[in-house]
Amino acid sequence: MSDETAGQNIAVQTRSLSRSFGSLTALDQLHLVVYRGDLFGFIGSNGAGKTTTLRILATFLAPSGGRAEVMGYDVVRQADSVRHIIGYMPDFFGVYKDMEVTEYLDFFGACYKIPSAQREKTIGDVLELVGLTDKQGTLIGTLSRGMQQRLGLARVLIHDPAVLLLDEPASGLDPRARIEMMAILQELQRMGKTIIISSHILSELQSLCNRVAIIEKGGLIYSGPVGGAQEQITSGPVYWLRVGTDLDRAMEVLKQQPQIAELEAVDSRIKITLQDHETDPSEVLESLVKGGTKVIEFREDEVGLERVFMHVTRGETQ
Amino acid sequence: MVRWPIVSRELRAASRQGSTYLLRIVAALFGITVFVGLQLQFEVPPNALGKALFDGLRLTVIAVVWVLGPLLTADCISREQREGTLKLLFLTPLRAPDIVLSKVSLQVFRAVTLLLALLPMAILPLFLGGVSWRDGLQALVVVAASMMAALSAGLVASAFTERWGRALFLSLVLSLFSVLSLIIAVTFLQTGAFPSSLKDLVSFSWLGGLIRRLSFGGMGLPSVPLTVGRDLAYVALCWTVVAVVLAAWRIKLSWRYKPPSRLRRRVVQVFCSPWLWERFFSKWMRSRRDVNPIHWLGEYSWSARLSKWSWCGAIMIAESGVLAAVVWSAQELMLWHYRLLYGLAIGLAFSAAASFRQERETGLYELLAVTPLGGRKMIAGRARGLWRQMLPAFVVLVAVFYFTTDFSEGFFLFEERGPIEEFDATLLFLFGLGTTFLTIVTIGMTLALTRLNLLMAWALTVALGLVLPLLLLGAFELGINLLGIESVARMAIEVKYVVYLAIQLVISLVVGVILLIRSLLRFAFV
Ligand SMILES: Nc1ncnc2c1ncn2[C@@H]1O[C@H](COP(=O)(O)OP(=O)(O)OP(=O)(O)O)[C@@H](O)[C@H]1O
Ligand SMILES: [Mg+2]
Repeated sequence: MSDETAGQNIAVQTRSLSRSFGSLTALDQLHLVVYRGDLFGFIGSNGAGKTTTLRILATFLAPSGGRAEVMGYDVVRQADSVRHIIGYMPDFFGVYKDMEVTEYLDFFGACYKIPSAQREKTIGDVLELVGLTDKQGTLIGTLSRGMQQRLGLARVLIHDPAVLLLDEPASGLDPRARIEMMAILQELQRMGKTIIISSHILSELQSLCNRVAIIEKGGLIYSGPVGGAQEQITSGPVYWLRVGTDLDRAMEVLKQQPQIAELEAVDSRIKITLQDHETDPSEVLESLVKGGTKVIEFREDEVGLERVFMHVTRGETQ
Repeated sequence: MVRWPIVSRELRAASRQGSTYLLRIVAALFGITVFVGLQLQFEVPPNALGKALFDGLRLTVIAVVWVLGPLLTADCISREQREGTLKLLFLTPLRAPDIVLSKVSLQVFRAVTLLLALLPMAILPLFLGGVSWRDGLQALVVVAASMMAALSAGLVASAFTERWGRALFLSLVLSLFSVLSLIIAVTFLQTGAFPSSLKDLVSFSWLGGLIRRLSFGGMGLPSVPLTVGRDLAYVALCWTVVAVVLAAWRIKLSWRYKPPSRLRRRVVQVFCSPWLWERFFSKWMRSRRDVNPIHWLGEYSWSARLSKWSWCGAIMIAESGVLAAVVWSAQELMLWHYRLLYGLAIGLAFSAAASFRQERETGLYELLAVTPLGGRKMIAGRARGLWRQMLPAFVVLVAVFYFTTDFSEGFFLFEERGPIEEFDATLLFLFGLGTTFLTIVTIGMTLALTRLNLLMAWALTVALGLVLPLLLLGAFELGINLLGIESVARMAIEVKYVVYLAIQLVISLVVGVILLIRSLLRFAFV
């Protein structure tokens, strides 16, 4: 990829982004790249600086150093252009309790300068998308927490932004709504939107996001594909083996294999760690079958994002 | 029972807030202004200095207690309701009366410390003579009773609403209400009959003294019999007990919350929603939303509409009162219009200082700030909303002014040059109104976007917009007198007023530029 095309593909980029509050450095020289069409997971312990980063990207907070660009626009100098193309959902609701649902959306539609003829249809669409169609005339104060959360998502989508900045959007949702929310996000990604989502529920991010960044104390620890994070903390891929025959015999066979780095019997299963990520696991399987072992299960161990997270962060808060 | 943990937590929180100290300064300034104002109004014969000082001080303290007391107490419970901490308190073994009593005792403590600062000043007149120790005791009883009743008014207001602005407003109304009811009750206890006229109402009380002094300029208050003080203390105590019970009952009911009662919804529906011209109205509101959503925001709710027409109604009532009292001379009629105008200005200062307050409390401000609306449009929309809110009241005021100036011939304004055209007088009045509005709105909104709390922002808005020009005018006059410029030295009052307005304009210009610069900054005011 040439520099030119790489530049065009970038949706959000920060360079040496810093922000301090008094003597506390909330963001310290953060370099971050998010490509267009990414569903980007933003992970970090409490106080790591996620909200601060998203606020800066949303043009709400001025950085104290460094630069940040959204779709090529600088968040400081071209804030107005940035505001048109981002949808920002903070980690609190921000609602007028005494307003009706449609009124609320219409109000924000007007703030985003959407022509009134178009607004009505858009509001119907987004309400349907988040499943609030039958709550149209309800006072917002009487909505449940999860419904207010959905309303927040509807508000974010009202002006059809190209980049979504979602700060813990899934907190407060019931399991079904969570899964629905994830489906909505994937649908939005398919529509070509770039989504940055900060969350503490890593198992969900793992299946949802194609790329993640992990930050701690305002600095970047890892940024890249989800799989890459997993490879980074393990020397080689791990497989689990369950056999129908003698466990010891299977162990004997496996010990002969040069591509295996480590072997361990755990309960009635064998944990196999391969030499490196290039090794072909089917060779191992083949040798087992040849050796007369009845293989019942042979599967790759999923290194959860949570394990990666626990491994790379120290849990220090500032 | 008073619970120590609540009290100590509040004390700690208060000591951490810078505004606590600022508030003391404001209270002191307010007191000094009232005191000096009272002293300046009359010539004091030297042998009565002690008595004059004493009377002035007594009235000052009472005025301070009745105005600032409720305001300072107004947020003590509503804040906990708003922030949801009241619920947490209820989950502990504390009961509603405990919570309320703890709050009251804390407020009393704070008020007493404020008043203690005045003690040295109170001792002075006793030594100057003319004042007996009995008078001193009497004054102490009256002040203490007033304080209890005034704080109770704030407490009740605080228990009945979550919003700070509403609590402040309600507390002032309740304060007025309790002053009147206290007087009526004391009159009843003293004479066995209810006051039958306004004259009756004021004749018995320290309030009567205050009113008399302010309006007729009589020197020296009659010594109030000690029994009046005793009765007042009884009544105030009763009112305090009622207030505590009422507040406890209310928070007990409301801590779980919430939807508005059926009756209330009904009332709102009938009186505050545009059911007659609904279709037209919603369309009209919608087009309003397109032009400037922030402007629409100031008008969408029934409470906004209610406050708009309340201002108008209040002015109409006041006007009828003024006009009905036919004894007023044309001069006084005019003066009253200016008084009403500045009353409105103080109310407007409150609205302006409360701008975006709800948004900032709920986090909505963050959402608005990241829309492409921009600071300038937000400010313009809010200013227009304020203008609309006051418009009906302004119209009534100016119209009555115009038509009543018609009735009379000579005015104090241009006495030396013969009768003034009513048109000119109205023009001057309009000019004053416009300038005052502009000044109050720019200052109020600028302060609303700072970290100052509502009460402080309001007080500062009034101080900067209305009082400071007065002081500067005084300085200006003094300077001219010192320079001995003969022709200017005897400025006609209308010229003085124009200078006052010019000073106001300059101040609002300076503040306006600051506001504009802030609004042009791309980042929000945080
Ligand atoms: N307005 C502020 N004033 C002072 N410090 C702040 C402010 N906002 C954030 N901070 C500090 O900056 C650091 C980063 O905060 P931030 O809200 O970005 O964390 P976060 O990653 O979003 O945490 P969480 O997962 O708890 O939401 C924290 O130490 C916080 O205390
Ligand atoms: Mg956060």
